[in-house]
Amino acid sequence: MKTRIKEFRAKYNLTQDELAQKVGVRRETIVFLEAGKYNPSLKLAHDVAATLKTTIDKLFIF
Amino acid sequence: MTLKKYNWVQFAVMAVEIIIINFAIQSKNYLLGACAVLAAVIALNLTRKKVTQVIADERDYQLAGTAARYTLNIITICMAIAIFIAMIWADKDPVFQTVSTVLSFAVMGILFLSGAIHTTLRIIAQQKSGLSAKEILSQNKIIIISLISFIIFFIVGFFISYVDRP
Repeated sequence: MKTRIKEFRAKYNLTQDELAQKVGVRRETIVFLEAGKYNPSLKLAHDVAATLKTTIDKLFIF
Repeated sequence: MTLKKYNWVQFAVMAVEIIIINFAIQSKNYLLGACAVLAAVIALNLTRKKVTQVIADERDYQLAGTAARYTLNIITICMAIAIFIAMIWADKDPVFQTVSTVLSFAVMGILFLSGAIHTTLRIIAQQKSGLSAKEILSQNKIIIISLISFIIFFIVGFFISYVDRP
């Protein structure tokens, strides 16, 4: 699975730590998400998408 | 408080706890040991509340679940081997008979607790999802029967092992 989290994060000038705090996870989880090495729960995927003002479809490429 | 600081506090509490418990065992002051454990639990809980960062998230819980499953499997296999060896040695020294019995009950207890907690959590989740009591019962019938049978076998096994022994 590929993600565009890094791209959207750069767009809104957010660090991994800031995004992690906003969605209530550890920074490490964001690192794993960006690398496509972790399948998030639907809630986390929704929270990340909402924080980055996009949709799950656009953020995660299956 | 940052997570890093919290980890250091945890480490310090653990170190102090080990020293106090060692002292308590050597001086046979068991109340001191119990009080130290209680104080450590309270101190860690209070400190935990002051941490502003996320201590654990869904990924950690997922890993914890996998770790628990592996731990359970490894413990069960190791205990089964130990029980088998103790039963073989029981002919040479009767102490191993007791060792094998205690280990057997310990393994049974761990497996039962794991199964019971898993079933309880599943039933709670099913209740939350709006399933009726009848549906929940029909979906968990086999597991509930297995757990009840397990309790019966446990009690019967206990009586055979201890009560009927001459």
